[in-house]
Amino acid sequence: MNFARLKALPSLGVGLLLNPHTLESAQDEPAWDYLEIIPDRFWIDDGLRAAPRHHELAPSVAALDELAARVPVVAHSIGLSIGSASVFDTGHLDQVARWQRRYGFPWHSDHLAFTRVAEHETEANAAVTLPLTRDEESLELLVARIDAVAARVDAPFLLENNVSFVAPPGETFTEAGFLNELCRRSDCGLLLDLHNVLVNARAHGFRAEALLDELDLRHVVELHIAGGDELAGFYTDSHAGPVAPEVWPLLERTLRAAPWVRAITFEYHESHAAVLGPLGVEGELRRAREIRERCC
Amino acid sequence: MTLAAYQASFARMVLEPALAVRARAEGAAAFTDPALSEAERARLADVACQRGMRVTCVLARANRLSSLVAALPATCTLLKPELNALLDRFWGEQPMETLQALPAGLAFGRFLRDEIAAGRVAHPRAADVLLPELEELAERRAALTATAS
Repeated sequence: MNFARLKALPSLGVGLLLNPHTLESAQDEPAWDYLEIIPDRFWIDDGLRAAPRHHELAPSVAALDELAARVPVVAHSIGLSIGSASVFDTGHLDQVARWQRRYGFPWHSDHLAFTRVAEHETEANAAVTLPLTRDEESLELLVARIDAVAARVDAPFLLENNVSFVAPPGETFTEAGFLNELCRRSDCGLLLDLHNVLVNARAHGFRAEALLDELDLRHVVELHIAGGDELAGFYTDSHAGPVAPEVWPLLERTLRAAPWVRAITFEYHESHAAVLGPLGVEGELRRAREIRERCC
Repeated sequence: MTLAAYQASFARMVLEPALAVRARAEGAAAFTDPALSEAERARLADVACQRGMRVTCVLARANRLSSLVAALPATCTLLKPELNALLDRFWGEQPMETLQALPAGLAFGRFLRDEIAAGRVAHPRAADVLLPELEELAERRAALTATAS
């Protein structure tokens, strides 16, 4: 990663991942400094073979236009499936590029995983972000893909560390080692989801702090904080309610060591809006802001 | 294309937990794609046996289902007692390319309409509840004439 490019990015502060509840409850003076959007939720995608392919959801886009006129917006996509060996969707990237030009995102991001696989004449979506094997073959695939993303979308690109409850055997890198090597070889920064680190630590029996110690935190541009709950014997990344208590010390530890964090995003699922309430959301944002001011 | 074959088998195992169950019994032999290397077959068999495979399959099913429930809430509620069997048939015929509620719901709604017509849905009021929801989805889809790119 080009560190000079990272250092030049604007500092956005503490923000919120936009969900339908946020759209409904947006106030004149919101508690967030910026909003993160999942652009894929603002259009219907008729698929690779359709023309025209992307159909924007006009009411949602109008609401976004109004918000984007007041606060910075960054894009966090879910549709690329950058690790898929059989699918590389340049049409999706072109749509992200159009939105990049329209909203001027200071950066954009997606997930370090694969979800889409080609099957005969069609495609299947696994509906979960599946783990890439942390080896040389995956690195080579990803570095080429990141180059292709940069060629199409004129903004720095970040990848988010994945959650996985299984671990392919025979890997040649640790999770942190793989992320370090990926960023070293490519022009890609990190969106470090601290709750994902916690979920993986619990699932695979390691200390979250140990991963942070091994990770080259100079690559981190954005942090995600969130909560989760239990399912089928595992603690999962469900974005249920408030930030998990264990995430706060991870945030503090990361902010003290990572030199160029530009944004901290709180994610919650809209189905938990009633539990959190507007004051609950504000409280989580306020606590993140206090830690940021103490550590940066 | 061996990595592509590995990923396709991995995804198939998540979408069809029966394959994971078979892999736990048969080991690497459960994965028959000739494009797979021996190492990839062994890797898939190892993953199938891991404790986290079950929650991965549960999450995949829940995520796919939530798209359909968002699109066809009344139909999914009404058909709850037979929904799992209907979903298995639907996903067996049509792998979901997208999790977007509108196109996924339309595809599932049309599948259900055909199943009802063929007498393969038990609930006597299924058509009464499905058809209005399906019609509304189709209208919403037709109205999407805004910026197309």
